[in-house]
Amino acid sequence: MIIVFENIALMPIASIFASAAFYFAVIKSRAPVALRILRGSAIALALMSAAGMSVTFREEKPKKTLAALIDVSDSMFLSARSGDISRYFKKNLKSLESEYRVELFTFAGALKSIRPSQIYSLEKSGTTDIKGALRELTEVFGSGIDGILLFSDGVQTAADTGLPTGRNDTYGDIPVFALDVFSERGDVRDVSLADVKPPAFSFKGSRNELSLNVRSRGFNDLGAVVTLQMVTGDGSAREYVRISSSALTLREGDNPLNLPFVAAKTGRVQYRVIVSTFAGETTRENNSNTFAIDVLRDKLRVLYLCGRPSYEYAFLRDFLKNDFGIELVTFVILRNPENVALVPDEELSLIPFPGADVLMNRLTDFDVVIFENFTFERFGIYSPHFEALKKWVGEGGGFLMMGGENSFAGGGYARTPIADMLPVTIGQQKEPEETGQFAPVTADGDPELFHSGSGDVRGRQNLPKLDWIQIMSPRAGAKVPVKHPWARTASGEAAPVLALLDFRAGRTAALATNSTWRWRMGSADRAYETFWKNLLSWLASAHDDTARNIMGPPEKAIIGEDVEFLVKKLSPGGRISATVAGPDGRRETLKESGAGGDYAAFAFAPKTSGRHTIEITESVAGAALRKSFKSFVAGPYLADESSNLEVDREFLGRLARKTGGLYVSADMTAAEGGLPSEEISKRLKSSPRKGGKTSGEAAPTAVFFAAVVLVILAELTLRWKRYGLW
Amino acid sequence: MNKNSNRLLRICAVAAAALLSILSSPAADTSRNIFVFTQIRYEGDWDPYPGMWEEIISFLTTTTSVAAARERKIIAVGEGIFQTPVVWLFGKREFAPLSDAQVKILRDFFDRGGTMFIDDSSDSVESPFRRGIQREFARIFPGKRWERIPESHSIYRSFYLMRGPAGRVMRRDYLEGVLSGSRYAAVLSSNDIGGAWQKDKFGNYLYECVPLRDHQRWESHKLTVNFILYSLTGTYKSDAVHQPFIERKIRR
Repeated sequence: MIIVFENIALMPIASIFASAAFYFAVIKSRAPVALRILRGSAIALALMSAAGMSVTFREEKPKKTLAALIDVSDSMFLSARSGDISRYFKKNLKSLESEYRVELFTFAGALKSIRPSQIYSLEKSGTTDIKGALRELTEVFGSGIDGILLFSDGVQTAADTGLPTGRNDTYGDIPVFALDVFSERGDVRDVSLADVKPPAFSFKGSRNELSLNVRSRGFNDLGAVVTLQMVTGDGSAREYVRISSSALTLREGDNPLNLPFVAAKTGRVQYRVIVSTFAGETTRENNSNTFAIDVLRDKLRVLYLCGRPSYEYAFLRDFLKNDFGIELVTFVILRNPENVALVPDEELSLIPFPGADVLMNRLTDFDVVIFENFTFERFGIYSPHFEALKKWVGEGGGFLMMGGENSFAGGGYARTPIADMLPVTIGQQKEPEETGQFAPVTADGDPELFHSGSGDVRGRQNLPKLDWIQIMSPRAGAKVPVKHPWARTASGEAAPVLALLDFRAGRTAALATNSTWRWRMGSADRAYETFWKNLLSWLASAHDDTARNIMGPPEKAIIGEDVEFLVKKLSPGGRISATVAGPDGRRETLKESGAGGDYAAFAFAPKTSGRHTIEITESVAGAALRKSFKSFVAGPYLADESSNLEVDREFLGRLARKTGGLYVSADMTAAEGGLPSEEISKRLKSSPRKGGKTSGEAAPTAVFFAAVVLVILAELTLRWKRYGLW
Repeated sequence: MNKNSNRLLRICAVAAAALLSILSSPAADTSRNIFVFTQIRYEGDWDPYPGMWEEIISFLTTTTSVAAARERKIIAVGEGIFQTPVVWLFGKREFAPLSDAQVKILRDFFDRGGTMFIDDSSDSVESPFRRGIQREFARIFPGKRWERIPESHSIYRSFYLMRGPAGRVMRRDYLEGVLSGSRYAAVLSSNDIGGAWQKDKFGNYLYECVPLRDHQRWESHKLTVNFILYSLTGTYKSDAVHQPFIERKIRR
């Protein structure tokens, strides 16, 4: 119902007269209440009649519903397009809402309903999938939408960039009106980095290549420089260290490039690649790209200090030197101060012993430090050096002391910080010795030390005998994987041949003999190599953990393309098995594709979209020791949206035509109302609506006059009949 | 000082140090990881210089940090060879071929890291002993040959800096070796190094060194020490950290 006043201008005058009449005839009157009510009503009706009031009854016609789909993908923010959309709605939203029921959505991948106030604070989110958004809208709202207003630059980056083809796409037949609200005109000029593909992992010191594409629009035959930087620090302390760069001459379109670099630092290393910027570029945000690579240490670095040349030194040095997984720095004392020098120094190959400098300044270059029979006092090594060594071990390093007349208490180590971190307790007196060859006991020790990839090297025949040990007691908390068969400590327990200890964040080992070379000479099995490799790996692995033993894969992978990853064995001699579970729960067991030594490499090509989970099981001697997991998401290839900045008006036009809608040009969107309503209305879907009342007009002015007369007659009748008033 | 004074001083120093080393050297003991002079016995003239080893050990322990036993170990080619990883083989005449089992033992010995020094004490360049060595090593290492050890090899730098081989007589100006992996598992000298050590019961050197006499004897002593240090340190002196120092000294 609508109330309409036609003579609004008369209202004030009529109100004054009506008020005066109301006062004298109703308020001041002494007539009965009923008479006063009737008189008041007559005055009110007379006033309305004078104002020409009329009441009209009209049908509530339902408005057509338009869904406004606003693209919030990356490309809409690189240029000023998102701002253009905000300005359009600011100008035209009320007008639209007066004619239509407007439902607002953003899309970039997923569809999201928003309030009008949120139009002015749009946030970018992902890539463009127009077809997917249309499909989702239809599935959610069914037949409740009469038309779609599409606000997008048409830069599709989803795998399926084709037009809807009708019912087979389950999209429906809702017309799409593609609105060109974008202020930019003319060609886009931009240089951007696209298709940046770093390796998922790398080895320190190894050469890598960063594959990328420098995409140029509007810049041709110009020199540009692509620079790779390593990112260090966080926040205000962030720095960019140049790693490598390459110059190129830009051609219109794609300019593929491979940028070589060497990973110099281990760990998860952040990098940034940037390309030159040029005046007049649409945006400079796409001139840089950041990524991270897991850089691994491919060799175990050992510092081996030995007090004198010996068979043990010869064999251990030869083994360490020839193992490609080990980088060895070693010094052995060839001449003691008491030895006679019969020739001048120039005729000797001797060099100054740098042990003090190495222990103080270069420990971080190493993973494991070995002392064999080393008399530190003669060579300028004092307590500060040992404090540095102890601190380094405590922070994750590995330390081994091997037996000899100048090791442990015999070497004076009881009064050094070394004594605190050894897995054996050493006193001030030289340890007693047990001489004579013996077969070491390993049966109840960890199989890890003697397990190579091909099995337990102890198993086939007993280990060759060793020569002698220094008898020491294991420290509380130490493990003793190798024991002497009959020698006993002061407390009666089997004397350790090898003791191991986790010392704070690092690891230490004490080998109470220096005759392991007999394992090499005395057996055709690989017991010697297996033992030493496993022991050194154990010492160096203190800070390795299950969360970090899977290197790669990238967080996002592309369906059909190989995902490579590397698994570091945390257990010396461990066997790695890998499975991948897809989003549908199906599991696939993977075969090793390479690596060897401490690493196992795998490759897997995902076939379906969604989250995939890698499960790694590490086993020793057939028993599963630990499991670790890592996930990645696979999806279709998504073109790089940040480097494709042109509004694809041609696509928008075809989409509109295909769906029975309209491409609304910039002129039309700039006009009053923002929409060509007639053209829109013609094309909107005619959805059936519930019926309303029929329209008509009722109660014109004459009716009010008739009502006044009736009320006055009613008052007169009442006066005469009831109250006898004349 | 003149040359005779130098020589006298050297002899006194060696004698004094030898006395000290005799008093301090460990007793005959193959344990505790100490060097034991081990010599191969075979059917033939296996021991041309019986007293040589004492002089070598004395000199070694006087001038280097090597701990050595005051004994000579004599073994045949058999399972016992695996008890000491460094062995010496001397000879001057033809010797009987090794049995197949002995050939296998020696092959295993070298594969597991054993080292053998062979000294030809004969009077000729192409001696019967040398021919015997080449014959047997052709069986031990089929397909491998004796090759000339370059003068830049660490065997010439393992303790003393030397420019070439030495010996009592200079028949060849090079040493020869057979590689096992990256090291020379067997080293052959054609220059009778042992003869430069042998003394009579009065302590006088028994044989003159030809042609350079005392200087040549001294070089022979140095080369013997280098052999032993090479067997106990491998290619240590080829490590990068040593090169600048060594090159500088060589250039002087």
